[in-house]
Amino acid sequence: MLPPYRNGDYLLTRRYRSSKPRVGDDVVFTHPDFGPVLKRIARIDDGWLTFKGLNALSADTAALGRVNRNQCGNLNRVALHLSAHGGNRLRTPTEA
Amino acid sequence: MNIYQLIERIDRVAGFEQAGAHCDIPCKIYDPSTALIAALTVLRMVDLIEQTEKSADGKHDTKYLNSMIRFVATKEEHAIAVKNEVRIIWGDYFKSPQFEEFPEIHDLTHSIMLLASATKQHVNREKSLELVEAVNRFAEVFWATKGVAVKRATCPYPPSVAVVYPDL
Repeated sequence: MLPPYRNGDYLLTRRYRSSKPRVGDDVVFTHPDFGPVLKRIARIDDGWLTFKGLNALSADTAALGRVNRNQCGNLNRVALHLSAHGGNRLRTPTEA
Repeated sequence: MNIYQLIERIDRVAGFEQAGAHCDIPCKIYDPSTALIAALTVLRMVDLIEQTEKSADGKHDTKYLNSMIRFVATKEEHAIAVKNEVRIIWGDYFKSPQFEEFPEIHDLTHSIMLLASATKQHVNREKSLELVEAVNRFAEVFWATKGVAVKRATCPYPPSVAVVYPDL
């Protein structure tokens, strides 16, 4: 997912407790096939999540498939993003 | 020290969980052997180009031309493969901890780009050997980052030069 994320960036993530996943959220979760990944939620229907990457090289949405919410291990929302580039900067995903 | 560097230091001790993002199929399969084989192929093509002789009369020498065009095309293709394979490992596998441990990797990668281009532009055995040696060094650094010992052995096929292999 380049941009806004680059290799080596640090993310502070928050578990969904009172809030629910929303379209547009950048999330870190354990994909059943790909392992721990960072993705943006593209669609939500009936407990099934569809994801997309933000980089041309990303595995496409079809490859990632629709994933049942219960199969997304450790679904966490990106709360803070610390980039290795552009100096010392904390930013939220909406600013990225 | 900025916040990023501070967190990076904590990461080195604490070992934060990593998430894949850009490649997105985190296959973790990186191996410089494909780059080395491509570099050896470049050298082999230079040898074949230099060894292949024209027919005695030199006229309508379609066989010679056919061979020469195939050698040059293969040299081009494999020099490009060297650049691609090395760029992928440098760009996708190497990250801050490896860069800090082996700061030479940037210059080394760049020199491989230049040498591969030089082997495309010319028919030069010396440059081709330099390319193989630079990719050998790249392989040494790569395996060192993984804590894998290496050995140098003469490849058991032409062009029969020293190649770095993981000593597993």
